[in-house]
Amino acid sequence: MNITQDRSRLNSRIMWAVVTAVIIVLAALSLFPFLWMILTSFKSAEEINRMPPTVWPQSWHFSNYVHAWTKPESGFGRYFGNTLIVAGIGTLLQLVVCIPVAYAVSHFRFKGRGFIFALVVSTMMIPYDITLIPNFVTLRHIPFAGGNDWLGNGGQGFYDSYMGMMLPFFADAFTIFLLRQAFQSIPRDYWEAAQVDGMNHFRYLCTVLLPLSMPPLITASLLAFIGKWNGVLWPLLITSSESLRPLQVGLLYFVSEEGPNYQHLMAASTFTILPIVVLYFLCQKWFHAGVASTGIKG
Amino acid sequence: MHKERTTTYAFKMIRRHGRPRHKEALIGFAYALPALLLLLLFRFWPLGFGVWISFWKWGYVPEKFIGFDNYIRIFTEDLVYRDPSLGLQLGAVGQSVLVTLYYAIGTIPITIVLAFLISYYLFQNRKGKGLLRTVFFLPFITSQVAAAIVFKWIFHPNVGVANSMLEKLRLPIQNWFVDPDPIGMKLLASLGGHWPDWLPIQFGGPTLALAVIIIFAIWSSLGFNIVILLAGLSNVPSELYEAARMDGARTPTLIRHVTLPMLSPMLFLLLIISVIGAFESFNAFYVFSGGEGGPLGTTMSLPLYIFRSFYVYGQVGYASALSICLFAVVLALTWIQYRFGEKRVHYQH
Repeated sequence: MNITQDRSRLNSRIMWAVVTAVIIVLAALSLFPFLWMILTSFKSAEEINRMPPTVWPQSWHFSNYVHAWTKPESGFGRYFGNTLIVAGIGTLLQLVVCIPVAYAVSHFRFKGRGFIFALVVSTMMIPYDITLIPNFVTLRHIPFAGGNDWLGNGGQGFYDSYMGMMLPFFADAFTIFLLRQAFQSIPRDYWEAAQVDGMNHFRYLCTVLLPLSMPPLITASLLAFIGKWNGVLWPLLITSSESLRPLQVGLLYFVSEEGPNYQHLMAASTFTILPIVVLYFLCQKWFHAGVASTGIKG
Repeated sequence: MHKERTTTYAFKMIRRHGRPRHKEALIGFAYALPALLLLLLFRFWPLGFGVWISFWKWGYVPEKFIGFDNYIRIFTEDLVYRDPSLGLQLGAVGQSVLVTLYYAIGTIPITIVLAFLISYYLFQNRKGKGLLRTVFFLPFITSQVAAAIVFKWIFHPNVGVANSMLEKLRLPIQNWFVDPDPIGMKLLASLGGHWPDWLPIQFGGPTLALAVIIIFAIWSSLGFNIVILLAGLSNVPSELYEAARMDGARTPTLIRHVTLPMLSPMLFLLLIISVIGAFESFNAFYVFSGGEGGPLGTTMSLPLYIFRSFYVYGQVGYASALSICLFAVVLALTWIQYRFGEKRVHYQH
């Protein structure tokens, strides 16, 4: 009896060691692309074309970054600025649109509240692809925008504009869902107390509810910001001017311009990824909480 | 008499509370209105408008109402078509459906199994948990465009590190993004077999280029799956484990009879999200093939095909018809999964 127990313990020890080894290998593989990207971004044109490849750069060419940054017509600085506008203002306006509706479905008592929330959640079932083409046409024909007349004809609407890149994403079901969960966890008694103090809904929302819901609010903003930062397909469709390109689209075009100069491509990839990685390290705990909540909703 | 009194009472109630109620509803709607309008315009309206567009020959402006012609073209020419000498052949849409299927089959099971193993391990092992979770999560928040460029570099045919590894292991080096032969056909050839002429070569599995995209997709989405499963694992009541341990259950039994059933709602959710995701996959396909879907269309996913019909060829009506079909397929798949998955899923309440 004792021997079999010992053996099974030994077996499970070995098993554990094997699993640990596998996980460490997987973790290394997961990190490898980042490492390889950074190492390559410092190598010379001659060095990257060696076979077998060198691991450590023989000399560090910081000029790759300068080259990549300034190579596109408007420069990557401009693309960064565009992305900051689209992701920053886009996230801000997304909150401005989503907070009130989340507040309405969590703190108001009225007929149709359940219906409104059901309507919001059901948009999660509509795949992103199907909305692309109709939204493209819709945005071109927004009345009075971009030289359009009141019927939405004649101009190009929000095509090729910051607004065109941002507008379809202001109302986002997932953000509304996340915020509603947060608001619901705050007792309604607070509202009753606030009413005694003579507060109206707007003041209550701004001075009581939002400060109390900071962590989920940060999670929602982070997820929205990163989604917009990394977005490609929609900005690619809706813009045509070089100077309006956001970072990801600029990077796509940079690939076709640079061709085989991978040291420059790796430099551009590095500075595209870096801000989000830094943001991630600064706000880690909110990230995991937010992503996990996508699971909890099922 | 009695009746009258209740009505008066009700009337008083309305007078006392009716107005504020009414006002509350009004304010509530006002708060919800901006989001509702935007959702109606950019989420619901596209469903109907997309169907409408799909009935037109529509370049950059609507040209002609053609009814179901776009759909007829999809199903009789582009999905499969009859070649006078070769018989029934797979069309461009058919091939992109197959590519998307290979992609789904290649990514989803491996990702979910790996994510389960890793999250189970991380859950048991509190020491390295934070660090490892970060390591696996990084790819998920990384720009897919930038990451795909890095993968293209790693799998570079002449000076890529992947080929250099193969060389060290004395394995044949590969022309990852150019070789149009499917893996099944290559394997058959290396075993000395010959691919039968009557079978279209697209059925020989993914090409190496698609395999690299599959590896990329696993790398990219693993962290998301892990974080969701970790959340699920921490919801399993520890008494369940303790009780099972008392009964002498060992780890494999424990996993089979406690962990997996308790985790099944999360696994099911991941499955549904992943299937929908597979049919929306665009970024990696676009970057790896430079938007062309090559070699020979073997990395042309359905969303990329739709994008090209719209963006490159300006066939708005046709592309819209395709995306309606894609929507129908995704809905059907989700329904099937609910139909057959629901029974196997164990909900806690």
